Amino acid sequence: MGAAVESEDLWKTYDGQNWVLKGATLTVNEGEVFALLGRNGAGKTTFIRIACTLLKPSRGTVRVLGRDVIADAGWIRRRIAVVPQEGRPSNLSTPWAHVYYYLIARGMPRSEAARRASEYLEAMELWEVKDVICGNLSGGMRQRVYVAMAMATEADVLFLDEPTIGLDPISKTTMWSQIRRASEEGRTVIVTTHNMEEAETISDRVSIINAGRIVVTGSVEEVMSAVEYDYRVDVEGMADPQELNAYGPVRRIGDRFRVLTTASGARELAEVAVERGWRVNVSKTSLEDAFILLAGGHVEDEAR
Amino acid sequence: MRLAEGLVHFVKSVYASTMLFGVIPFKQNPLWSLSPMLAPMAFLLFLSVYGIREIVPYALIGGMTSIVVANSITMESDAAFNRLILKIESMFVLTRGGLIPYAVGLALGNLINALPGMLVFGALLWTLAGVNQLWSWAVFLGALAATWAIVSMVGYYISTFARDIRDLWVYSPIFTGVFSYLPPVFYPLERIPWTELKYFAYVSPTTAPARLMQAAAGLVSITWTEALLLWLLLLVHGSIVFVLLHRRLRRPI
Repeated sequence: MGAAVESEDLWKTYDGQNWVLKGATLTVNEGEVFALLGRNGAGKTTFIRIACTLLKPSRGTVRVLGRDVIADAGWIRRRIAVVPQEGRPSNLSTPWAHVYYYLIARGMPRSEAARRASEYLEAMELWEVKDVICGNLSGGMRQRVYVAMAMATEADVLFLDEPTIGLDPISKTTMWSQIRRASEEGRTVIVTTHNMEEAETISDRVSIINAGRIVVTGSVEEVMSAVEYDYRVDVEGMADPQELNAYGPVRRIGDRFRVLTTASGARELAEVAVERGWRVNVSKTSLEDAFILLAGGHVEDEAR
Repeated sequence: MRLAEGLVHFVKSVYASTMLFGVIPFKQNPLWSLSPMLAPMAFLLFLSVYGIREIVPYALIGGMTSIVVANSITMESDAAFNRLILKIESMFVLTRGGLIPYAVGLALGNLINALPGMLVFGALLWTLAGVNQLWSWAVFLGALAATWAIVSMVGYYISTFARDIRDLWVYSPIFTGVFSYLPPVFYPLERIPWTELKYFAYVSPTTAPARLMQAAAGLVSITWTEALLLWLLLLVHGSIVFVLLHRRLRRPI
């Protein structure tokens, strides 16, 4: 399996002073669904825009399907498609017009464009509203129009920048199954998201990017194993949270405190809770816990 | 073979962009074409009410020009809207033809809004001013096409500077005024009292096409040399804006 996208020591600044990307290095394999996770402003969209040939890197290289994004931008552009973050279709045109004419603009013959437009509008559950102007569609439907446009192309690599933001759970599930379908057809899908459930559900591998640096890359299990804590303990009803610090990193969530800890730490904390009358809930750490730790600062600083 | 294939693809891309951004939205709201027609129409009405018939042909040529200008300069807000709000420009960049057929399609889409107004003013020019020579209309078409191309490029160039769509709302009326009403578009160049100002009027890309149309309608008399120079001037205007735009689009971001 070759690399669909490879970045090496990628740096980007818009103003010459503040660096949005600081040496980001990662590889996305062909045919996989790859999720790029990061906080707001971590550099996800900038990375995507550089890989899509829409932005020039300040330093470093990015190769898409083996070609350089600067030297071979034209070649790459024909083989990729993007769904921009928070984009929306024109209110005065229909979903059908968007998908069909976009495919024509990409060079597809009319009959093929019509066939694929029908197929993907149906797949994205937009067939019933294909002739309704987008201004009369819900926000979620409009979002799906753009995804249908990108998916219906012949592109080998799809970049989806937060494609499920604002979608209801059912629409999200539809989108996820289409993303997986694209991967099964051999296409590479790179998704940026804040939604950990999404990343766990659809991606073969993930990267966490923090402050312009790739903190960790791997399967969900590998990313979670990068965190030394296997359990999380939610504690409620205690007076002084200071004493929880002995078990691991503590975070306040509303009225309770979440402690990430080891198996022995979880056992010990549960016993203490029973003795003191605290309410506790013990579970395995999730990707979200790993993300908060890795993108939150502490562990990333140690890793550096 | 490759060139022919590229050309076919270019035309198809332009067609797709025109349909998506011009024809379909126009069908949804044909009233768009009414707005740029109103000011020149009102001017025409005043002239008719006051009985100043000899100026009517100038007002008709000026009206056609200003309708094309008003509908072409909107390229600045349309392109910026597509880039900043819809974010669809980045999707169209990732096509075989890239940005150019997308932009040409967008500009053609704007021209569709100008067609009803041009037809009304053209019909009036034919009936009221008696302009019915084929070659006159060929000059009109060429001059208006050049105006459309240059002003659309100016609009697109301005759009590339926008960081917020509201920055641009103010420019369309300003440029429509500056390109349509200040230079000798509704009046002959000879009416400008100072020679220096006459030359300065040629800075506007609408002065040359308006003068060519005035000459084609028999309103002013120009030599073949002047006609040639006017067409050359249009070429120079177009080339300058094209180079500026090309450099701007190739800039490192």
